[in-house]
Amino acid sequence: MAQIDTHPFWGNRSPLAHVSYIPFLLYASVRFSIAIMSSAALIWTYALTSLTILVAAGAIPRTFKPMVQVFISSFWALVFGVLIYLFSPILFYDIQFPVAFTAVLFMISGLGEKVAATDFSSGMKKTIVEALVISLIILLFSLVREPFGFGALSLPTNEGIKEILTSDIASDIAIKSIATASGGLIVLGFIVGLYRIVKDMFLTYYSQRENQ
Amino acid sequence: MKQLFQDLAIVLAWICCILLFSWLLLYFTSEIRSTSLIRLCNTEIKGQGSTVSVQKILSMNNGGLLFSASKPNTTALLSPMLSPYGLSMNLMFIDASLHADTLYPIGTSSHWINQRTNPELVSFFMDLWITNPVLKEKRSK
Repeated sequence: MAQIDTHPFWGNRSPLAHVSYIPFLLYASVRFSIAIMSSAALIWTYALTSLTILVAAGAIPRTFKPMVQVFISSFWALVFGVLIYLFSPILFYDIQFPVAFTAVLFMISGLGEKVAATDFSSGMKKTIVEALVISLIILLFSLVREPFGFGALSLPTNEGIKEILTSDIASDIAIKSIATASGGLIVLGFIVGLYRIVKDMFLTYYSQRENQ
Repeated sequence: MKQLFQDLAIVLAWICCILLFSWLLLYFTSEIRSTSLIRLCNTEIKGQGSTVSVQKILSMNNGGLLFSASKPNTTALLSPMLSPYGLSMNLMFIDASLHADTLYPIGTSSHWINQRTNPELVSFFMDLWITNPVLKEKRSK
């Protein structure tokens, strides 16, 4: 098992295993309002699916656990979608793709298996922490993409996406390619590069402190 | 073997329960959802100067919704348009001769996206919606 986990292609740390969040990240971070709603959908789906899996752990046959988890996560994503539709139908149409994707994301993250193998409190903690970390990345990413790509900042309201802090000048000078999916990938590349530099700096700093 | 069939029966029970709950949720909220969408569309298109309003949802196809309109021999289609700037929801009235001249964006984000999207792409989407054979058949009914 440990050999598979560290495998360069099939392992949990392989390049392909890390890109599972990218489609969601790219779509959800295009606007701040979509990022807020996608984060809420992600936390809702992750938390309630994990809760259901933990509460009904004894009632789900081990062999078919992933299959049942697909249905449970899809159900909670659907409930979130209906609640948003009741709040604002147009907002639902704006965020329907990321909401549907949260159920898929739960499955490809392998969180269901990890949660089922732990006790209630640590399982829930693991779920909430993972959902919060992804949400934070999406929100920060959208705070770069929307102001620079659209020259505006938007919030979710019952009339759909409402733009605040917008002006014609800001909109004209915005680097529109950042708002597109390809531009998002370029920005992601820069952010990952920056993350590695900062991580290396921290590692160097802490190792030097330990040596002292 | 017996254990496998027992497990399969439990999984089927789980799947049936979840599908039933999902169906109940959609069934009991369908009226409220339709009413709120019609109200929203009418408020939006009235604000954009339309004298015709949407009345009842006739069918759903490929993420688009077909409505009946207050004008005789006219239907309204609410459809998503994917542009490089995101997804915009648009409503248009289609008459009996399959003619639609105005596109009403629903929501401020859709309005913004349409303004910045190439007009040729917008006309392409309009042609695509109007000539959709499934919708054409539903409109004729």
